[in-house]
Amino acid sequence: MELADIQAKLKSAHSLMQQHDYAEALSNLELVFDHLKEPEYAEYYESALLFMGVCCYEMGQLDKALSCLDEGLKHARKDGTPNEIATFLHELSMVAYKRGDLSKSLELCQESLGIKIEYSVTKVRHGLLEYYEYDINNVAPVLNHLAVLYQENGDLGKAKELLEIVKTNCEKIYDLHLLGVVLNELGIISFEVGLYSEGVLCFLESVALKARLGFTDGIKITLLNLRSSLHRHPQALRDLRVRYLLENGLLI
Amino acid sequence: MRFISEQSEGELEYQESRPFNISGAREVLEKALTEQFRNLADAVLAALLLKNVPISELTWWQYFLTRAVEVNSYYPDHHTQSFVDFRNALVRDIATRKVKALSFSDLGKVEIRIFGGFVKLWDEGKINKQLARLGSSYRFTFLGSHALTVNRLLELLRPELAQENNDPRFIWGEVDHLTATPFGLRFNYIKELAISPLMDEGGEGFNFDTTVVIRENLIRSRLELSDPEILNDAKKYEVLFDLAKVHVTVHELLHAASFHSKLSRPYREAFWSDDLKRDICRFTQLAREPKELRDAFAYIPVSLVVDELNKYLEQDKQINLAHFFESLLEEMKGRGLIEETPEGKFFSSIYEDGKIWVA
Repeated sequence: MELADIQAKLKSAHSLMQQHDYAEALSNLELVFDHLKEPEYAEYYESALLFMGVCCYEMGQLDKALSCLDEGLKHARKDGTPNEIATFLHELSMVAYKRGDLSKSLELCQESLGIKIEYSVTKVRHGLLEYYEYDINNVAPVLNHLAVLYQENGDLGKAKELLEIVKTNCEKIYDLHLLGVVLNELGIISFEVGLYSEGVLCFLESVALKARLGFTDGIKITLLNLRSSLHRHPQALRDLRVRYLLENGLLI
Repeated sequence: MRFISEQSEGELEYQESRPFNISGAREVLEKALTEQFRNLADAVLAALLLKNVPISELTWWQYFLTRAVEVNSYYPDHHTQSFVDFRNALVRDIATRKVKALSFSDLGKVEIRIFGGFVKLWDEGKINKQLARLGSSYRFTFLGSHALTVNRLLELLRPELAQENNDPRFIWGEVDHLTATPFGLRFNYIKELAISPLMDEGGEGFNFDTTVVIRENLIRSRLELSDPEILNDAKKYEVLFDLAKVHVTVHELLHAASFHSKLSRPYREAFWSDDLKRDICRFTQLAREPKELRDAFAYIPVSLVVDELNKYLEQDKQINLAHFFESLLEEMKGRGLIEETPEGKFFSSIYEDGKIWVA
């Protein structure tokens, strides 16, 4: 197979993944995968493993996803950049989470985020000041996943703190898709820690944002989460502000 | 680490328990935040002075302006008795430890009380959103949020890399009527009530993430420094001040439009109209003539930058400010956010007392 054909298949797989057509993307990848084991195509091998791992994960083929991502991580640890290692760790953490192995997922996610932060910070000097800045785009999705893991692990305080950091970051870079997700998560946690009106506000803001972006399924999920949070915490309805928000929605 | 007095906290709790008085809640929140940010500023200043870090005369003057009851001149006159008294009292309070120094490494532990509880300094978005929901014109700009959040994440995940240094630069004060532009937020501080002593004395305007910040105090100081005689000609003063402000604003908005072009479109799609609606509601707490309202929001620097940007955009993606504003007004009238009085004025009753407030 020619290099141009391999590149075209990988490109097409990537574009299919963006359209959520994982089955078609996977069959494109499988067509070229054996050729990528040849040394001259080594630079594409890692990407193909990552793409295949993600496709299998999305299609619920967790064993196959695990094997691709494990192989990819080994490869990345040998020849890859820190960001590539962190990406494989993050995907593996997602797989472990879906398999119900919370502690493994947490361990992998913490390692991934640690690497991403370590390699995306830059030291800034400004007059008397010296401080760190970092590439928020690179960090926000992993941070969100870690917050969810803390939440599952019962560490609500840490989860809320991380989600608030992600929310602040998303607002700064206008990552609207992730912001909608984070607001939904913050709504759930706020209820769990007894901040009911704050929770309702987060849910309603998430719905408003998703409505603006046309994420109909996302709206349904958030409204279901609001309903189940109210069901789990019936005392919330005694809060005047909660009742006001539920009756009026967001005024602006 | 907290900077709020028992009395202010009590006032916040009182308003929290009776959420029917929006103007009262707004006033209490503004007062409590002013107290906290002033105490924070003093603690940062104390840290600098105790380390013998030189504070420039212009910075001292800007600092003084945030506390002066009445400002007759923005020209730094360090022999003015009220300035000398202020500086001496503050230095004395720092020397006697009445004002305690804040180590920059403790900045991440600082917590600010707003309605609903305490928030970290980097959560300035939450503080500002609460103020906006209550119809307040006060806003907080904190430049150290990146540094604080990255340090917190390093503490959690790579403690060996966490460092003690932080960025304690901030401004707290009253902004003008327009915070929403198509390119992001615009905080034009007409009155600064607390500033970090580390704020750049040369930065009459700057961009921070996608927020444009304009400091009128500093523009006035520069103007008066460049020509002290100008104080004798009020008309010339205002013309030159307006020109300088337009210059700084256009410059910063152009940065926002060009540096953040990828970001500004999602902002427009998701937040611009919401922020503008809040601005309009805030402006129409007093009934306004239609012309007054339209003139206030047809802000020249924004129009100039939009016209410039439109040259590079395809027809269907161009921004039509007037059309956008008129359709927003129609929507707001339809939803009862603003009403027309029998005299034909625009008025927003959403902040009227008696209604439940949520912030």
